[in-house]
Amino acid sequence: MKKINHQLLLILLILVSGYGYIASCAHEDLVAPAPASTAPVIKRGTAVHLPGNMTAGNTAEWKLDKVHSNVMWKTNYMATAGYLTGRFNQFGMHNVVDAEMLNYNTTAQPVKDTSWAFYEADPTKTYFSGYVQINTSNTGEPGRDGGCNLTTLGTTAIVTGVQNLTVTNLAKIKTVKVENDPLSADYIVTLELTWQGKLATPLTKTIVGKLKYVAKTTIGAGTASTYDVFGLQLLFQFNCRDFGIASTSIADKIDIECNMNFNNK
Amino acid sequence: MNQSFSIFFDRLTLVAFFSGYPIVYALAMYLIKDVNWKNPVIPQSIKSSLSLAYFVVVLLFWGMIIADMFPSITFSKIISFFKDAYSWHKISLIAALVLAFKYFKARPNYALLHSLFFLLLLLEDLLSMLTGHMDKLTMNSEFKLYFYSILLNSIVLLSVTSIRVVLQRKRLI
Repeated sequence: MKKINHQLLLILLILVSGYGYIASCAHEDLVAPAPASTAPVIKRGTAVHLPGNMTAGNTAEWKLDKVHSNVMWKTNYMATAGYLTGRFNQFGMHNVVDAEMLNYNTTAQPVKDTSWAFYEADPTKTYFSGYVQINTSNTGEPGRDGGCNLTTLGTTAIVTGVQNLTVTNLAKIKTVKVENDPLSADYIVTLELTWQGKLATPLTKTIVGKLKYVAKTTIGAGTASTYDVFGLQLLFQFNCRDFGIASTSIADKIDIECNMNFNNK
Repeated sequence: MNQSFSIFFDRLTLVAFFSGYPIVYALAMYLIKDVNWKNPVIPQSIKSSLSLAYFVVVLLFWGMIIADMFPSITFSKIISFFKDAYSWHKISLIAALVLAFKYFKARPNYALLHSLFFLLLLLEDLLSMLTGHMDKLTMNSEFKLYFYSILLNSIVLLSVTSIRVVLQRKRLI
């Protein structure tokens, strides 16, 4: 009896095991899972921001909020030491053509900041132009800013109440191409930097920079004074020696960071 | 998701250690009863090693559990180990430690009965697959573990039997 039981048990277990293994066979070639992609997952929105005529109260038209924007520069002091930094107090987003390169007797923006358009999903439509007034470079040291800096950079002192957009005081940028950055949600910008510096005539250099869009947000939602804001940050670098700047107090490479804030008030 | 995965992992661990024993037992008993051995010491050693082999597999299981918990073995960890899933199976594995005693060593049927408890887990999953509640790939993986369990139990039985035969020859036992 025991003999039969053990044989029966063995046969039963072998049958069950064999059946289970065969039944669980999928009869299909295992499809290897798709390889994990190391490409970054980039999400872009569809925001469109245009200046229009910058009409106050028109929420469809975006205005450069110059008071809350900045253009900053930095370079290595003596080319090897820590950063020497400064900002330009006067700047704008206008494509200043030759006919507009004048002195303007105003403390407000001398020309309308309407030379830009931003299309988040279609960078081919995005463009911008900008300028800075070189003599408004502010390092926090008035002696430098109103002294050696002016001669170093080939410009003249600030005249109170005058916005100096003349050729010797103007550095301007203009986009040539804006395209998606394949590695992030930012944009790669090819732009032309035009500046006379210490040269006899203005020089235009093509530079590649990076543009970051800071998405639109609503300020004071639900209140009577609600409005929207968005930001654009541009980073680029140029070689000051190209523009005849010979000072050894600064490095060849100058980093520029432009933080432009816009609202639709 | 994490909890159900850990419960499933516990189930697979129990299947991997113990579900192969019944077929090893059945095969061993077939070899003992139905094969003519020139040397009767070998079948005797196999029979007396069956319980001990199962006991060694139980020890291996507990060794793995303790090694996982080490060095932070706390009372609460031990309690949660038993409370998490398959509590009765785990408690029965503590009871299985008595298989080392003489009474149970001579009666390998107790080890067989104990291991059937774990084979039932595998059969339950097979039934789930046949009724469409479990996918074939998971079952296929589980059966692979079952065959590893057969291998583990076979190797342990072979090792214990070999050691017993050697010790008997040296008249140490």
